[in-house]
Amino acid sequence: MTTQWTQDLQPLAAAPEIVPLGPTEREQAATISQVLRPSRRTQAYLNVLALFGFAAWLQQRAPELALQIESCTNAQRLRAELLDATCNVQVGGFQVCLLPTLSWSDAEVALPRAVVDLPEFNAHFYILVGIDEDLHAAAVIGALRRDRLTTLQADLDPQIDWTYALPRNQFNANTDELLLDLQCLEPVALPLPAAEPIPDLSPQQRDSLTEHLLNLGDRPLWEVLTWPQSATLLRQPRLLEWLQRTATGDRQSLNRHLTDLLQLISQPAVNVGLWLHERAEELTTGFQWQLVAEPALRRVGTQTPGVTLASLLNEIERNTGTPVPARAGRGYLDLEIGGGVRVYAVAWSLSYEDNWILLLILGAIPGHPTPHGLQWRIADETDTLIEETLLPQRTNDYLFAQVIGSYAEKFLVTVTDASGATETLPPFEFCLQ
Amino acid sequence: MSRVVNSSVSERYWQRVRIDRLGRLQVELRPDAQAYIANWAGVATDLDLQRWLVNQWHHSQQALAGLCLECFISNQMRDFCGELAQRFGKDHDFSRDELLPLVLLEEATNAETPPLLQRIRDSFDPERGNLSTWTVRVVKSDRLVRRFLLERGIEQVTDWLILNRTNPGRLERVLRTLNATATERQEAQRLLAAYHRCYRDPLVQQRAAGTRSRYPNPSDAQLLAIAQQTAPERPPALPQVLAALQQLAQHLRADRIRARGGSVQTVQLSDTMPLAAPEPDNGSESDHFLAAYRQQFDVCLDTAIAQTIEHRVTSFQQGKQTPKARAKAQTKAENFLVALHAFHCQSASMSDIAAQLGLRDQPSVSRLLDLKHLRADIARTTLSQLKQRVLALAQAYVSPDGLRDLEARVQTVLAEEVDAAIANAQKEASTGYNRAMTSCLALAICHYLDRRRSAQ
Repeated sequence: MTTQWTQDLQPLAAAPEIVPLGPTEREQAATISQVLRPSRRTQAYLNVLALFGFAAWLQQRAPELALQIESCTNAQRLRAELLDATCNVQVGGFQVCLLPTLSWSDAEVALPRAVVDLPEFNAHFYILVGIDEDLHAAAVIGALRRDRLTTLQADLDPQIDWTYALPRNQFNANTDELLLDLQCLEPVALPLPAAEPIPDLSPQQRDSLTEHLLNLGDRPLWEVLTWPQSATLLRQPRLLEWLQRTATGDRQSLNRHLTDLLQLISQPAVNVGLWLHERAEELTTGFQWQLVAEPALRRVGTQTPGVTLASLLNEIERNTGTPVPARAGRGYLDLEIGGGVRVYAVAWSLSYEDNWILLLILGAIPGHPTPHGLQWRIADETDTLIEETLLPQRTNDYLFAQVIGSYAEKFLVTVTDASGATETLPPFEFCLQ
Repeated sequence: MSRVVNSSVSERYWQRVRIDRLGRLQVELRPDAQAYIANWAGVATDLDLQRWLVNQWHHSQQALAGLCLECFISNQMRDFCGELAQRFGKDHDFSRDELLPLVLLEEATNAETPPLLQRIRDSFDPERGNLSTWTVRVVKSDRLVRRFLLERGIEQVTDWLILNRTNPGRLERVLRTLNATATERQEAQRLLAAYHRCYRDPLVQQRAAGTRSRYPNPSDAQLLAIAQQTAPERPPALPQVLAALQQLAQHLRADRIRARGGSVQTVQLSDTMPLAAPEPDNGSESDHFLAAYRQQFDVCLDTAIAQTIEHRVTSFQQGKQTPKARAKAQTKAENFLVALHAFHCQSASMSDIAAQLGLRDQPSVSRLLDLKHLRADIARTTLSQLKQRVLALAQAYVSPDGLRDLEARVQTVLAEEVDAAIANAQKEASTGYNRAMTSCLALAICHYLDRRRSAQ
């Protein structure tokens, strides 16, 4: 009879060193999780509490260890939303990954695949943090060192929700040993896998990712995406930002921007910085920009592209007061759509501001009729910047735009003619030599 | 007809178990309650008697009926705490008498929460089971009790906790091992997801906002929402949803037990991380180690002791915001220093220290000193200091095994006696325990505390 009284009580491997989670901490965790998709809030809340709990414990046991959380994944809300862990927490020279758990005595730990397989989230130590959010208590209850995980990795198979199930006994419950390692071990003792570049997406993968992200709603990623798609998402902060904005932003314009964004982050870009040195890159995409030099002498009646561009730029300068410096890269590209249209691109650097400027002109190829109804869209990684149509009532028979960006930013131009035919140009970037 | 409520059972209704001001267990006979019970003409089970008492208490405001219930509950509390201590006390270092005062608390801890005993009496519903079971259930879910147990390494695992923490991957695997069909697995996944959405997530958010509530059974509204999300076209009846959830939890519980595999966790621990345990006769090695680095070692040890002790003293104060909490922390810090001095410099036993400081018993002192962690912190900080001072040792710090080996040597040098003292303190009888603290660590701690005193 009496064993029934105690049969739901489970002993832990060691008495936990409990630290309190105060109202300030809980409030902060709630605020951070509240902006996320509803299905992710509980996990995100626990992720933040795990960090607070770990920090308090470290402060209690080893205050001389420096804890850095500026680049941790909770601070990047987008990653906080998708990871079932708090990664990129730095203790001394080590990266640690915190795994919150509601069930302290559980004989199994669900390790998210991302924190094992993606170099961005790898850690020297995977630390299990028990959370009792009713008692407002937390404790560090186990740690798995990377070298130990490496020996287990070959036998790990992901479960349907992209977690690895690890026996709890692989986590060392002796927290004194964790502290010993954190304080005394040299980080070189635990080499981490090298960072890998993010693989480019094929057009098919891109289309499928677009479609799936548009239909994600509040469902978990593993139900909707393939693992490579999800890995791309987790590794690309821009995509995560996009996903974040779908919670509050205008769905229609966000959806339209997603296609541009995926191209911007996955397509090879044209480095217009090279144009200043009169070099054009060969791109595999089939678009070949023609460079034009600034004409030294403007010979009347000669209609070279350089002369046409110079007179267009003169007109623009007269109308808008936008001067183009002599030291600028100039090029043009002819497209077949709209009965034959020409895009001029002029780029220069504002080195004193760490910015660059891209000036674009879209009009007919000389001798062709003005392509009324022609549209263009210019986007960067955060938004659609310009959408404009060439209408008959305009004074100019061309479209003109000027955008400014930092050296890390790229721009994407998409041209659509009146019949709906569309061409997307390779992204523009300006890399300093 | 025989009288089932015989004298040995029914005395539980008129003997009130209490904790006196000195924390001692008292059994108070209540003739008024006994006389009251004698009035009861009923003949049947405990449950019938309890039903009658509840009826008298609630509907006829019979204070003595309430008292009889309280007596019964207090007896049951004593038995349950005894049971807990018997089952877990030895391994988890606590006694029944430590637990009882929390349970038998007679004054409310705050305005919203009446004492546990009153809560049990007032929430008891004889239609849903007997008072023994209800008492145990409410005691186990009481926050003070849960905290007491969790601090000592015991977790209550309810069906709801199991479902809250279960992820879809694990559910899928468990169901596959049970040979569930694809449809059954899909249904179970939908049920779990709906449960997380409708029960777990709102509860966690309420608690984040400060509302306190243990994991209650899901409400009808929650069950309805779960039913509608699981099968929007034909939502199942509520009892069916509850049963399905409980069944799911049962499967998962069975898997947890399977995963434990009867293996003892302490064994697993040493499997995981082989601690470079010092050889039984490695005296010469540690002597050698000491001889080579004696001077640096002593400096490092002194620094480590000062840092660790000072830090422990300040950490008691951390996060204490009310004046009352600060005063309590101050007392704790003072007690800690006195206890540390008595233990290391005067070779006092923990029971003696408890008496000296007015603490309950040996386990309280043991927890206050927390020698295991104190020593680990000192050893670690010593190593960290050595790392900065002794280049010849650098190689040991670049491999986990090398580091553990070095740490084991330092530990050996520090304190064989402390190990024995900690082990002994746990089984230490209150009488006749003699020892002299002569280890390097004890001497250094003692030395530091003496200097600290004379500096003040």
